[in-house]
Amino acid sequence: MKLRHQLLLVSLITLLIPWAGYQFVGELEQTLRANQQQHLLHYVQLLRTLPAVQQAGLASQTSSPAGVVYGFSLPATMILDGYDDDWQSSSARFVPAQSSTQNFPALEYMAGVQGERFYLFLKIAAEAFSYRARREALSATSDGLRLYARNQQGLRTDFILSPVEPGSLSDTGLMDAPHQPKLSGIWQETAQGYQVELSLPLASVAKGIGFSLTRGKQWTGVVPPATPDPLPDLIYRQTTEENPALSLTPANTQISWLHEDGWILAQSGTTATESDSRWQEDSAYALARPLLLGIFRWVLGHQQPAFTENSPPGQRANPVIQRAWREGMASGWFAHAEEGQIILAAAVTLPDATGHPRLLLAEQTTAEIASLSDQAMVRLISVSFLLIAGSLALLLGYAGLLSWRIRRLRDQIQQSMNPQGRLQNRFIASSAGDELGELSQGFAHLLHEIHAYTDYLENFARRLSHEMKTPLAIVRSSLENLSQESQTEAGRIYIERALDGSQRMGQLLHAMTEASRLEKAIQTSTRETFDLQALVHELACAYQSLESPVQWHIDIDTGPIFLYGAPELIAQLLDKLVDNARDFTPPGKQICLRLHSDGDACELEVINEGPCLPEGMSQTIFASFISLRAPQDTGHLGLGLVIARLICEFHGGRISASNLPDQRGVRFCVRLAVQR
Amino acid sequence: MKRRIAIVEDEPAIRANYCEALTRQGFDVIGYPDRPSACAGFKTTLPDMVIIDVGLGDEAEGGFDLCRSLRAQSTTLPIIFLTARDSEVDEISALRLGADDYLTKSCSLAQLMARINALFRRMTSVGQHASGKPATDECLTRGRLALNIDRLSAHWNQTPLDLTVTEFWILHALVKHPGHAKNRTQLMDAANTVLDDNTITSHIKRIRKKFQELDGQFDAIQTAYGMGYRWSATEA
Repeated sequence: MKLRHQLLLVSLITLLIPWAGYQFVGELEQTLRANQQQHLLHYVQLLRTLPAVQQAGLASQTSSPAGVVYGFSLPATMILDGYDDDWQSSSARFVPAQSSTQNFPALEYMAGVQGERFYLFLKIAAEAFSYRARREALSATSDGLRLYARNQQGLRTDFILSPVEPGSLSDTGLMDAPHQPKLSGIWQETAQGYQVELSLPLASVAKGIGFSLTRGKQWTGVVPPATPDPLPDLIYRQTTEENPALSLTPANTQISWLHEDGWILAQSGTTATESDSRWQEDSAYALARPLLLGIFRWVLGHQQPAFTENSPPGQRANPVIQRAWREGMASGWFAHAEEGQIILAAAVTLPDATGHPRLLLAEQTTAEIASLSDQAMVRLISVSFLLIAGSLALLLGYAGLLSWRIRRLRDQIQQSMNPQGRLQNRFIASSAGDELGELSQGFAHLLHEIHAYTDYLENFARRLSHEMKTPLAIVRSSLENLSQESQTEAGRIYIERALDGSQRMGQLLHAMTEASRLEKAIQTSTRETFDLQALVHELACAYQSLESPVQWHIDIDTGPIFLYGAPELIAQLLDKLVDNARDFTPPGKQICLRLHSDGDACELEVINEGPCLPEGMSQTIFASFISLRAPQDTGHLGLGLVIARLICEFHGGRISASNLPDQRGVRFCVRLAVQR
Repeated sequence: MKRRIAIVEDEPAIRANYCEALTRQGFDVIGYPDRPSACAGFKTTLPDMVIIDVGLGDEAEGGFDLCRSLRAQSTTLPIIFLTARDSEVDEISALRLGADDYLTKSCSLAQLMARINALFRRMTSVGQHASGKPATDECLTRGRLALNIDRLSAHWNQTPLDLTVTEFWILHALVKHPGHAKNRTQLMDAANTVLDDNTITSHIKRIRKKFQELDGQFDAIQTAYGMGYRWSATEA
C-alpha cells in the first residue's frame, strides 16, 4: 500500500468529527427533552390543584361493575337513516359486543353524544332476521333488540325493539311506558345483515345504558337480557362549554382527562405540529436537508422512543399512563403511530374525592426540540463537511508533499548507484531540518563513506602494486646479481626458480593495476570513424587461425558498420570476450562470434558452449576482482570483463551476459550505437 | 676509459644491486640516495649517463626535477628513468622532460644493460657524425624511411624523426619485413622491454603521430587487428 493511500486511510479519522458532534447533539436533544418533560410534569402537578380541573370529566362518572359504554363526541346531529356514513366524519368506531354463544350473529356498536342527544349505531352480521308477524303479540321473550336506559333520577326504561319490517322504529311497541323518553331510530337491512341507528335524549341514559339482541335464550349485547342490572355507565367526552377548565390549556399542549379504562373524558388543546416554514425559502436546501439528515440518522442511528402508541380513537394507553396509575405521577416520551409524531407526556392522578379515579395527561410534541436539534445537526453537517474537506485536502496535500520528498530521496538514492553497483557521486543532501532531511543527510554521509571506501579499495590495488614493486625489484636485482656470481649447479636452479617466481609476482602486480591504468588510458583515447564489420572480420580470421581445441563459428551477417570510437579498444574488448569464452569452453565445443546490425545499433555476440553463469551473477561479473575461474587457474584477477565493460561504456554501449535459454552455455552481448 | 654512470635511487638495496651489476659490466658507477647529494655531485663532474628514480625520498617528483636541471646542464647527457611508477602519464612527462628512456623496475638487469648499451652506442655514433668521421653505419631504407641502426636515428623524406630508443626498436622491428604483421610480443622483444599490450598500442600511436607531424598523409604503419601491426608493403 502506497504511503498516500495509507495517509488517506488514516485521514478517515476525521469522520469522527461529525460522529462526535452527532453524539453531542443527541445528548443535547436528550437534555432538552428531559427538561421539557420536567416542565410538563410540574405543569400538570400545578394544574391538578385547580378545582375546575378537578371537576372536569366528572360529568359522566361511573362505578358500575358492568363497565362503560363510551359515547364519542359527534361533530353534528346524526341523520337517523340506518347508515353510518355520517358517523365517519367523527372519531367514533365500532366496539364489539359480547355474545352468549359462539355462533350467534356478531354485534358491533358505536355510541355517540351530540349536544343533549345520545346516539347508538348497531351493526349485526346475520343472514336474515325473523321479523315479528304483525299480528304477534310483543312479549318479553320475543326475538328482538332490548334497550335499557336509566335516567338522571335512576329510573330504568326498557325498550323492546321487535320490528315487523325494516324502517322507522318510532312506533314500536314498548314494555314500560310511564316515564318513557322519546326514542327514534331506523332498522335497515344490508348485504351483510342489518343495522340499527337510534337516538335518545342524553338525560334519559345519564345513569346507564344497556342493550342486547335476543333470539330465544341466546343473546348478544352489553348486558344479558335476563338480568340487565347493573347497567353499564355511559361516559362521554366533555366539551369546553360544559367545563371552563378545558380552556386553560397553554399553546401546543394537549390536556386529557382519562378514565380508568383509558377513555378520554375531556380533552383540550392540541399538540403542535412540526413546522417546516423555516426551510421553505430555499427549495434546494429544503430538499437536501431531509436527505442529509436521513443519511446521517441512517448511518449514525437516531434516538427513538421505545414505545409507539397505537390506541384506538377515544382511548389512550401508553407506559406513561400505566406508570402514573401505579405511582401517581409519571413522565416520558413515546411515538404516536397515527400522527407520526414524537410525544412528550406527563401524567398525574387527580384527587380521588369522588371515588372515581381519573388521570390528567398533558402532552407536547418534541417538534421544537427536533427543530432545534435538526438545526444544530444541519449546522454540524455543514461545518464538519467543511472541516473534513479542509483537513482532508490539507492532509492529502501534506501527504503528497511528504511522499514526494520520500520519492525524491528514493530516486536520488537509486540514481546514486549505476547498474554495475558503482557509486556516482550525485547525491545532494537535503537541507531540511526534519527527519526526512536528516535521513537524506544520513544517506549522503553514508554514500560519501561508501564512495570513499570504494575509492580506497580501487586505489588499494594500485598502491599495493606500486609499493610491492620496489621490494620486488630488490629481490629481482639481487637474484640477478647472484646469478652472475659463480654458482654451483644446484644454486643456479634455485636462483632460476626464484627468478621465475618473482617474474610471476611482477605479472600479478601488473595485472592488478591494469584496469585502473586502462581506465585512464581509455579516457584519453582518441576517437575516429571505423568499420566495425571489417575489424571483426579481421579479428575473427585471426582467432580461427589460433591453435585451440575449440570449434569456431563466425556469423557476420551485415555490411559495413561505421562506428565512432577507438578501434584498438574495440579489438581489445573482443579479445577479452573471446579470451574469456575460450577459457570456459571445453575442448571440442563451439564458440560462436556473431555480428548483426538493426539500423540504429549493432550487436556483437560471443556465445560459448560450456558451464552456465551462476544465478544472479550476470551483472556482477563485470565488477572488479570477480572471477568464476577455478582457484588453481592463476594469473587471472577477474579484470578482463571489467576492461570489456569500461570499453563498452566509453563507446556509449551496453554489455550484458546471460545464459543460453537451453542452459548449454553463456552469451555475452555488446550493443553499440551505429554512426549514421 | 671506463664510462661513468650515476644512479640516483633512494632505495639502498636496489641502488647497491644496480651499482654492483653495472660495475660488473665494467662501468664506473656512483650512487646517490637523493636529489641534493646528486646535484652536488653533478656540479663538479657530469657522468656519462644518469639513471634516475622518479620518487626520491620525500620528494615524490624529485627525479623529474633532477632531470630538468640536468638537461639544463647538458642537452646530450643520456638520462634513463628507472622507476616503480608505470603509469603512462609519468612516462610521457619523463620523455617530455628530455629523458632518453623510461623503464619500470619490473624490467630485468639484462634489459637494463641492453638499453644502456644502446644509448651509449647512439651517443658514440652521434659523436662520430658530429666529428665528421666517415659514416660506416648499418642502414636500413624502406621507401621514404631511412633507419640508421648504429645511431638509432630515423629519417622520413630526409627529415630527421625524433624517436626514443623504445620507439626506434619497435619501428625497426616493423620495417624489417614490410607487409608482415608483428604481434605485440614480437615488438616487445624487439624493443627489449616488458610492456603490456596497451603500452605497445600507445607507443605505436606515438610513432604514428610523430610521422604524421612530418607528413599528414602518413599511413605506412597499419593495424592488423588480432595480430598486431605491420609496415605497409607499398613503403618497401
